[in-house]
Amino acid sequence: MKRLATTTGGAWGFLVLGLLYSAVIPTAEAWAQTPTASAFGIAVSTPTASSTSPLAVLPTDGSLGSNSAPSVSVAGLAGADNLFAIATGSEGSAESNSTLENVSLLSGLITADGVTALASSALSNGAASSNAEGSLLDNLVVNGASISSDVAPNTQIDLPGVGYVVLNEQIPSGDGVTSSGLTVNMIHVVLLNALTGAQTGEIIVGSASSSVN
Amino acid sequence: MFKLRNLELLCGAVAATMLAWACDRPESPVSQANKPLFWFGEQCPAAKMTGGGRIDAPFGGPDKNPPASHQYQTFGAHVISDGFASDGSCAVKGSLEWVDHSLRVNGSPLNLHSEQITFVEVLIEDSCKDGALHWGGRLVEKNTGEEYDFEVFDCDNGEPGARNDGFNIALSGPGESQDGYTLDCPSPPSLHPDNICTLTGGNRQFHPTHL
Repeated sequence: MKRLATTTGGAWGFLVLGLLYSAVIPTAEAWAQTPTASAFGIAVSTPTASSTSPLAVLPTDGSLGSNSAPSVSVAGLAGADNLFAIATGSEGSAESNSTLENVSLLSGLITADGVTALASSALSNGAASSNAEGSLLDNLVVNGASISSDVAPNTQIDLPGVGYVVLNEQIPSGDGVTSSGLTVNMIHVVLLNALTGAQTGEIIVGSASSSVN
Repeated sequence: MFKLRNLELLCGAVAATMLAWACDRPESPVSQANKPLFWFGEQCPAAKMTGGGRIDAPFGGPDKNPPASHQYQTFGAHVISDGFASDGSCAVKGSLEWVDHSLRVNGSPLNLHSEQITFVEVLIEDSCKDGALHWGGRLVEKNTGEEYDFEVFDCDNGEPGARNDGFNIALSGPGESQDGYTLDCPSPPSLHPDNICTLTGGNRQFHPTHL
């Protein structure tokens, strides 16, 4: 009787362990390398406006996502023409790009003839890496000052009374061995309350993200 | 016996010559412009190529063109083939999104979008050390709705893709306005033959596990 109880208890124990194992251990599909990629033209987030367009996301089957818009306008905040967003990838590789023309932000406080954002990530020969090569700002003017087309990553410029803008913002992720990712935001405006300094919103123009693991 | 062996050798040489001649494909629309012919390998291999990026043409080098010139192209493309199906057709699928910022059609950049992928074959090219494919099908010019047959020259030359990998497309009818469209690449020095433009940014990834 005691042996039976022990045996039954052991079986239950194995069952519980099995259930825990199946819940914790990913399936074979989940073990597979999972690249991610996305891109968008303009994203606005303020108390009065919230939108992202056009947005492209890499489908889970690892093929291609794309989207476009002839123009986007968020009154007083952001506008651009000929917006395209593309995201592609498969196991071990991900790439996305976003292009826009005739960009105007905050009623002309920031303008650019063209914006191109690219993010690329790959696993190769035991190393993971990402880069933003090919990204570009065409004829960028910030508060009346012309900015070099190859502006250094994460260049921050104050916008008095408005907040600040980060140009060619690059946000890396991953360990560089088994994983790597990069988000590129070519123009990232952070809106601040002039009195308190608290963030009240943000505008991102030309964004591309990719990652592999 | 000696004569018989000579005869066998002669037959072998003739067969090899005929095989090589048979494998020499007719010129493609791209190669008709006095550009080098590629050699093509296995038809409809089990193969996969993914990724996208940026090309700078017509200047064609791997350097970014001057600001505001709009002389560049951006794209995304993938092709996946499982080889020949039981009915003898090529089990290939994929997609292409192509934006040529240097061309304006109805006020917008030329925008091409694939509708169907119909063929894929191995592209034998030494400058694509990780793998290369020649594939294509039917696409639509979104600016006008015109349809075209297209072919892609797709090259993975290692990491990073920028300044190493290559890509180009070529269009032929039935549409008319972009019939014969292809990029004129590259400016020397270049890694690749004339029909393959080096990427300024992005990556093409050949997936050897699929082959």
